Amino acid sequence: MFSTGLILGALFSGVVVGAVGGLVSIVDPVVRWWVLIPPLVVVLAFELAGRPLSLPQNRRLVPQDVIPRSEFGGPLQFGFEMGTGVRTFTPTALPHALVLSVVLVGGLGPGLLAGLGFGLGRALMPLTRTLSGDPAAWDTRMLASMPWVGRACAVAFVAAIVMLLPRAMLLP
Amino acid sequence: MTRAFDARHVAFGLAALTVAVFGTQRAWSVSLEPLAWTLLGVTAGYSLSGSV
Repeated sequence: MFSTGLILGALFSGVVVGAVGGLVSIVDPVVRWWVLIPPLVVVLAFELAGRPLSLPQNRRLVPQDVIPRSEFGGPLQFGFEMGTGVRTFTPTALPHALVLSVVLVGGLGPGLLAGLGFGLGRALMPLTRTLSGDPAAWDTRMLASMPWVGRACAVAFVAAIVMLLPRAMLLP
Repeated sequence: MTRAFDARHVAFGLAALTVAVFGTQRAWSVSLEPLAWTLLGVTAGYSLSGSV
């Protein structure tokens, strides 16, 4: 139920951000891309350097006492609130870059897909942690390798955003 | 204890998958935009692995 909540929460955020993107879509796409590229370059450069930018964030966690409130509702609510990306700490700036991308060059459909992906990405951590067989050791190794996790995610982010660039903006 | 399955390896796998999808799009001139948006979300979501 926790992972389902994560995905539902992320889908909710994706719809909200995508709807805002729909309003921005009246601006010429090339202009929107040129507005997006400079901040993305800055954010991704810092991510690749292993020193993520500290951007505004809520810095508030979902209270742990939500979980035992009910067998299904508690974990679902905890996951939903965490999945929105609003009630959590964001050690990297990639979620900010994602929101900016959906608003400027996405829309409702891309917002939904990005939201789905965000929820799956969030659920991937507890899933792989559990499957590792030794969650405590997994945590220790993860904390030690967070800069590399951030760099690898930034590489993937760059590859995905280049896939979305209009063909006219790519070199032949 | 196995070291073959930690957060860094998952992230590297994610990066390799995305680069492979990118290569596929360029090589076959197909549009994989929906997949790209989803992968964008997955990478941003997974990058928060250090938070709770």
